[in-house]
Formats: sequence, C-alpha cells, structure tokens
Amino acid sequence: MRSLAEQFEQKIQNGQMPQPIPFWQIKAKRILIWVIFGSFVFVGIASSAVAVWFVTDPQTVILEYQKESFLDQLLSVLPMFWIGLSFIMALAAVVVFVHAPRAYRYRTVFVVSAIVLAFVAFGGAISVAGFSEKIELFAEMMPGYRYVQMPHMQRFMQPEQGMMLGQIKAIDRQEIFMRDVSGVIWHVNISNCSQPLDRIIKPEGCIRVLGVPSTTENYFDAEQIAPCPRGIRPPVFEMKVKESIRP
Amino acid sequence: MKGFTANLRIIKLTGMPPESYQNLSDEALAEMVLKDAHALVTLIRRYESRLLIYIRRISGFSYEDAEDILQESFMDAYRNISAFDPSLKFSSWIYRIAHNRTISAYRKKKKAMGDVSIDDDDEGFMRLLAAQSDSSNLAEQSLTKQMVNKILSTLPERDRTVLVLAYIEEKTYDEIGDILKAPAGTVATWIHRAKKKFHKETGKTEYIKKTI
Repeated sequence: MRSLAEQFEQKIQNGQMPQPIPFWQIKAKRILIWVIFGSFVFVGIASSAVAVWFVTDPQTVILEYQKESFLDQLLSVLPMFWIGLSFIMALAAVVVFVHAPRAYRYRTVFVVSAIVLAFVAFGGAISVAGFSEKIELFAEMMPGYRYVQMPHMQRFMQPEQGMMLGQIKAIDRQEIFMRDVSGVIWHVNISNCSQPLDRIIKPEGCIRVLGVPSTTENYFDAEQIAPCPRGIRPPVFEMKVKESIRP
Repeated sequence: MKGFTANLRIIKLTGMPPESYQNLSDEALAEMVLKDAHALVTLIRRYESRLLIYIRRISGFSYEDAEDILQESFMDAYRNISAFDPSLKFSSWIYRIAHNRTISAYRKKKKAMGDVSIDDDDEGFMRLLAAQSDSSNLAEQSLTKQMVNKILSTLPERDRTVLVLAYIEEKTYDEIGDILKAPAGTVATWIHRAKKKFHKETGKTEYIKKTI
C-alpha cells in the first residue's frame, strides 16, 4: 500500500491538486477584520467620550430642588444612549477580535478589560480635550437622536418644582423673557439672583433657572441661573414647540 | 523521464533540487509550497506517521479512518497554506488542522474510543503515568498500556486531548495552546483538571484489578 506522501506526489504529478487559496484573499480577510475592529473601537471611544462629558456635567445633579436621592438623580441623568452604544461597541469589538489570528492567546477577561480600559481612558482624554461636544453635535444629524435628549430635557422643565429650561428672547433690566420647551413665554424676575449673570444671560442663549413660581401666571422668581445642561440646545426646543402645536 | 522533467521544473521554480528540501525547516518548506507543491510531500513524509498515531489516540478510529482524516487534513493544509503564519511552529499548525478534522469526524460518528493498539512510544504512556503518581511508587505501577488507553477513553474529549498532547506528544503549553486555540494559562488549567480525573480513574482501575 502506498504511503500518503506517495499518493500526494502522484496527485501533484497528475495535476489533480486543487489551487491553494490565494495569499491576497487571506490578507484581505485579515485586513477586513482589523478594519472592522478599529471601527468598533473608534465609535466606542467616541461614545465613551460623550458619555464622560455628560456624566461630568456639574449642572445635572441639583439636590436642593429635587426630591430624589443623590443616587436616584445620578441614575436618571446617566447618558444611557451613549453608555449603551459604548457597551455594544465593546461587545462587537471583542467578538471581532477573537476572530483575528492569534487572538486566542489572550484570555477573554483580559481582552474585555483592555477594551473597556481603552474606552474609558481615551474617551476621558477626548472629553478633557473638548471634542465631546463636537461629537455630540455630529450625532444630532442622526435621525431620531434628538428624541434621546427629550427625557433629559423634561427632567429640568418642572416649574412647580422650581426648575425651568428655556431660551432667552429678551432682556429688560431685572427681568428676562424666556420661552420654555412648550413655546410659552415666561417673565423671569432675576433681581433675587446674587450671582454674576453677565456671562450667562445672552440673547437667544439657553438657560436653566432655579427658583420659585410666582402666584401670577407665567411669572417665575429666579434664585439661580445657569447655562443649560450639556446636550440641551435651542433646536431641541424648536422640535418640542412644533410637536406641541401639532393638532 | 517524467520524474526528471518534474525535477527540472522544480529547480526552475525554486532554484533548488527537490532532494535539498530535506535540509529545510518545516516553516521554510511551508512557505515554499505556494511555489512548488512538491514541498508539501516532504512535509507529509515528516508528519504522516506522527499525526496518524495522534489521530488514533484521540479518537480511537481504525487505521483506515484515521488515514482518511489525515489525507483530508493535508489537503486542507495545502488549500490554506497562504494562511500559515510563519511566526508559529508548522507542527502546531498541522496538528491543529488534524485535530479539528478528527474532532469533527469523531462528533459525526459519535464513536467511543476503542482499544487502540499502537506499538510504538511506550515512553509516552509512562510519562502520563508518572505525571499522576510520584516516582517512588511508579515501580509498583502495574497499569498496562492497554489500561491507560482504556482510562483515556473514559475521559471527556478535551481532557483526553490535552493529556495526549502534553505527555504523549510532549508538546509545550504554548504549542498546545496554538493547536487547541487557547491561552497557555487555560491549557495549564485544563491539564491540571485532566490529570486529576485521570488519577481518579486510575484509582478505580487499580481497585478493580485488586478485587479480581
């Protein structure tokens, strides 16, 4: 009986061997894997950067005006969309990475930890460098993204709780005229605000007002005025106004 | 005359006569296969018997079935030779291909490991026995090669494979990792667990022997 080597030799002599898969095909597959992996990591880091930017917003947690506990407030202001996107990207990156050549040499725990660490570290660095807002602005081009910000915005629009959000339409000494998310014009008395307001109050600017609702309808006595929390911008108001006037 | 013409063609393609392939390393030969398929024949000669024994050890297949699997494995290796990473050992790569083919065939057939009578490499079995008992009572060890095979056949697929690779094929943890596509640390854990199970089974066998 002939050995396998002899059988193969015979096949080669007779030209019965199939063609090996070309090198370029293998190379292209490997490059594709790394490109997909890189894309997931890139989007994941960008999402983490925006998530970090939202989480570190000093305007989000206002204990004295909300009845919720600190933990409840913290949980309600977490940017779930961006955290979720980072999580999905991390998962996808791990799944792609395990298909890369020699990836099996690393434990899954190590790969997951490395990716999460990279997301947090690079995301944090991008946030500190000030690029997170640009990424978030870019995301606004995505259809439906603005709806993601709606609950976040509505959380700050509770006049009966002493919180309002709006766009400055006019300034008159101790009073500003502010349009809220429903399109209602409010008279906001700023005479009781002790803080310097020059840098905050600008025409068409977005502000968050803390204070007490006046007995007069659509009048509000402000105690604190701050810029709008991150991610809330006048175009979001416009959308809300259009929705509210819909028959 | 046909052989002479073939040799001339090889010299033209690779710049060296086929006889000189014997002096090349496995990795160099694997890189040469794309230029000349005859390089594969040299590789097959080097691995044919080792892989045949390995396939039979982990599956318990008959000689004919094991040879079929090996033939398919070499064919796979030839088709995918461009995917061979020269920074890996060729032996790990070809063992991986043969291993995957064997496991796939084994699962299809769902065949229990039979008594494999392989005449060579008694040392491999002794290494496996020594690994689970200290050297002082190794002399008293009355397990035969056939019994070791029987114990191996009772172990789960992965335990059997790692024990065969580590003690009979004498592969390092890194090599086993490359064959089974797992980190070296995980391989160490698998071997440790498999040794424990083997030890437990050995105890049972010894007890049966004494009772009989």
